Amino acid sequence: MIELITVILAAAARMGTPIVLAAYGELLSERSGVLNLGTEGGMIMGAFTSFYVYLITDNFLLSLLVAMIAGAVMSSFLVVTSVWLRANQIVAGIGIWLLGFGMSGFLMRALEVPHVNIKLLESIKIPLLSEIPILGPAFFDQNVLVYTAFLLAPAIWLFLFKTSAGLRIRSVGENPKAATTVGVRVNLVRAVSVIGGGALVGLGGAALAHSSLATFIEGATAFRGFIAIAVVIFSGWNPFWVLGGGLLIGGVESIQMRIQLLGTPIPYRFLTMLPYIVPLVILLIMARRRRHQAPLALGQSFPAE
Amino acid sequence: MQNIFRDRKYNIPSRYILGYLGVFLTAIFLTGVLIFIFGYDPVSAYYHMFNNALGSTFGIAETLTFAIPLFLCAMSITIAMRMGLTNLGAEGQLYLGSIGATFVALYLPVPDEIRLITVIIFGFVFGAVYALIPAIMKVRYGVSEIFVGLMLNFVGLFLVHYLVEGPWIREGWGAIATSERFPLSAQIPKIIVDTRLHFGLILAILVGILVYFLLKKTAFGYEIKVVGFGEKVARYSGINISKTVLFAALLSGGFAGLAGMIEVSGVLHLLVGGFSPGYGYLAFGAVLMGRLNPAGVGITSFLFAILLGRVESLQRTVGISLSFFYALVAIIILLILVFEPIIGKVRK
Repeated sequence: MIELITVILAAAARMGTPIVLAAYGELLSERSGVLNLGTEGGMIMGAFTSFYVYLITDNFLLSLLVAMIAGAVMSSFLVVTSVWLRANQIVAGIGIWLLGFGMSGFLMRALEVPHVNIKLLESIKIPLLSEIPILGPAFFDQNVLVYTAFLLAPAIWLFLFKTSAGLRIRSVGENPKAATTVGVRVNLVRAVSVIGGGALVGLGGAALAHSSLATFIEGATAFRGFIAIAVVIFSGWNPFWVLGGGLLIGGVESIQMRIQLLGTPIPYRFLTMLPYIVPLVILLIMARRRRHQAPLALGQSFPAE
Repeated sequence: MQNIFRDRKYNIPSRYILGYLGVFLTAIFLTGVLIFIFGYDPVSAYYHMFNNALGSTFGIAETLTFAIPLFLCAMSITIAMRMGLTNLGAEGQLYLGSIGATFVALYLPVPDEIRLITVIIFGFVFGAVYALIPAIMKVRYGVSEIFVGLMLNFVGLFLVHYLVEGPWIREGWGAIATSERFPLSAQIPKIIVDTRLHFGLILAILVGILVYFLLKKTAFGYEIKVVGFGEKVARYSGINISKTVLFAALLSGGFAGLAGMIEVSGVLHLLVGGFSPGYGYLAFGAVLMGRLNPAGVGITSFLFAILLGRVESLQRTVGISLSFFYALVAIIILLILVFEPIIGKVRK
């Protein structure tokens, strides 16, 4: 039983990592007041490019870098349309999502990328920590991307709440007008946050290819990018809760797959619905329990109309 | 969250027609370059595309067949967007509509004379009720309708898969699980023999006219418009926002449900998992390009159907696939956003 829990927790971390990383990216973007609905598009491009680059070069770090660039490029479209030209962020996000979905599928075919598996990232045992019963083997015998996801939570928290750059990002997300009066260039800060966040989203896509799926097919992200946005919302825009929320969804994914393997009378199609239903239920519970602490200027372009 | 076309009158001045035509051609050009880079011939690709779609009666019938569900989903999104809400759940509502239609066609004991009309009603109702979930979550708990809709798309998709693989399976047929074939009494009749074009076209046109009058001539349409101006405005005007949103959601989901109903009852004559190429998503481009105006959206739906029609058959010869079409629609959406300020400013 304990072994099973360990296995499920370990899988939760592995499957949650792409969502957590993408959610960090979304968090940065939303903290600066820009709703990036194109996360799904950035993520799928990240997954595709990292898979493809790894396939032809066998270079892991290069594949991560390219995925981050791909994510950044995708989010830069949002900067052009919604930050500079002040177009509706939702519509622009939908455009970016469809673009990522279409381009990854098109490139997949045009480059004649074979349907093969790549090697999943190898785990690295962390001495001492991995000796902790249950949690140790689950969380500290993992691959480097999972550790990245763990470490980024405090890093992003420190960045957002303890540095002046973080303060600037939060200020343009809360009250851009006030921010300008102290000399903050609102749209520049937003552009940087969105593009930086986009790179993280791309990294999330890379994590999907390297640590979860080990391959790429059309539509591989299966709305994980949108789930990441939901995670940001129900986590109250706090990186630690984002980590927890992302792992929770990863847990749901791993448990439903485990149940499928064990064989139950529940039809597997219902089990595959769970990763989509659970975020909704959590959103609903959180909405009833407390008011969301969304950045006040979230979704508003600047200068406002 | 602001509506992109807030404070405008949703009419389509000539500069928009020219501007959007420019956007469309630019998108075609950009994707043509893309095709070229990957070693295909863009000219012959687009020639095949347009020739397939418009070159013959069969082609035009086929194009219209694709335009029907696209247009109905687009009407679904239009109604929501006029209120400043984003119905990204049209795809799921479409699937629910197809479930409702199949249920009546195959399992509900109704007299044959009224079976088709019951199919249509159930298609509408299933989609409408499904759209109530995000609407209620929005008005009661303030949860974004975007996510609820998106997540429910997967639920709807898997529900269809579950039904045709389990309780509704047609035993002993091929690798792909489907339901039984619809009886003739549950099929929408064809307009032109030997094509797939069916009388759902008339239904779609009626829906378009209905939406036009609803938005333009009725009190309800006015309420939708005011809600679209923002919560405060609506409250000062004494409009019951919740009621307006819920009622509009019913219509919105119903139209998407009709799209699903029409696909199974008019085209496929059976239920099969994942039959929609993503009408609920692609319709978004048509809505935007048609400036949320039923007539405009009708034209853009047809335009998109030209590109979408038989896109898979082009894959091998000229490198055009469904994903490619998604990219094209996405480029159109982004280009519209980029050029919107420019097009909007140009005086006649």
